[in-house]
Amino acid sequence: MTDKLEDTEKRFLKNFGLHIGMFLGLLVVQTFALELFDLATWAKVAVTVAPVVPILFLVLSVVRNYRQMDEFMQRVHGESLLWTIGILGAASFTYGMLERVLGIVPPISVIWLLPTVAFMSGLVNFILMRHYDGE
Amino acid sequence: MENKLRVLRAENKWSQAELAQRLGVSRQAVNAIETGKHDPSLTLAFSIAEVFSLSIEEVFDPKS
Repeated sequence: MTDKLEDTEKRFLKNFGLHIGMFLGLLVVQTFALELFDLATWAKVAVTVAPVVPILFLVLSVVRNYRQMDEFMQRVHGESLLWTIGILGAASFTYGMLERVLGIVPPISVIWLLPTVAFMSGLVNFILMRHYDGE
Repeated sequence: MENKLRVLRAENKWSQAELAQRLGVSRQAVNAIETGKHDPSLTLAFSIAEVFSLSIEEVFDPKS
């Protein structure tokens, strides 16, 4: 990896850690604030959605990191996202049908969407990288 | 698209990482190009040819 790519990667990992840390910190604040204080509705809403702010900065970091990648890495990451969207889209559609039409599975909260996308794109990225990096 | 990247790199006694450093790309990118799994953009193809002081046609064979 070149110095420029290494610096970009280090900066990304630093920002990633910072934003995840802020997210977890705000989750703790959210839990305690809602538990301990009798807040007005607007304050409850603000405290509840506050952890989303560092997540938005995290998304910005991911996009910036993508723009700094070389063309091959962009290709692999792009393919990972396409696979992730396709697989998750098909899976959620299938689950939605079973839930709505047959009612044989319980509803799943959409709060799991972002973690699932992050995990799955990481996994697919790992698999694709092994595929492309082999002989 | 076939290329002579591996041969040229061996002639210069460069590792994939060293060539990647000279090109400003990742080692994985060099490996993918060498193994024919990734066709480089025109810009990167020009850079590769320039690193070896050759023309693009001397490094890449578009007919294969």
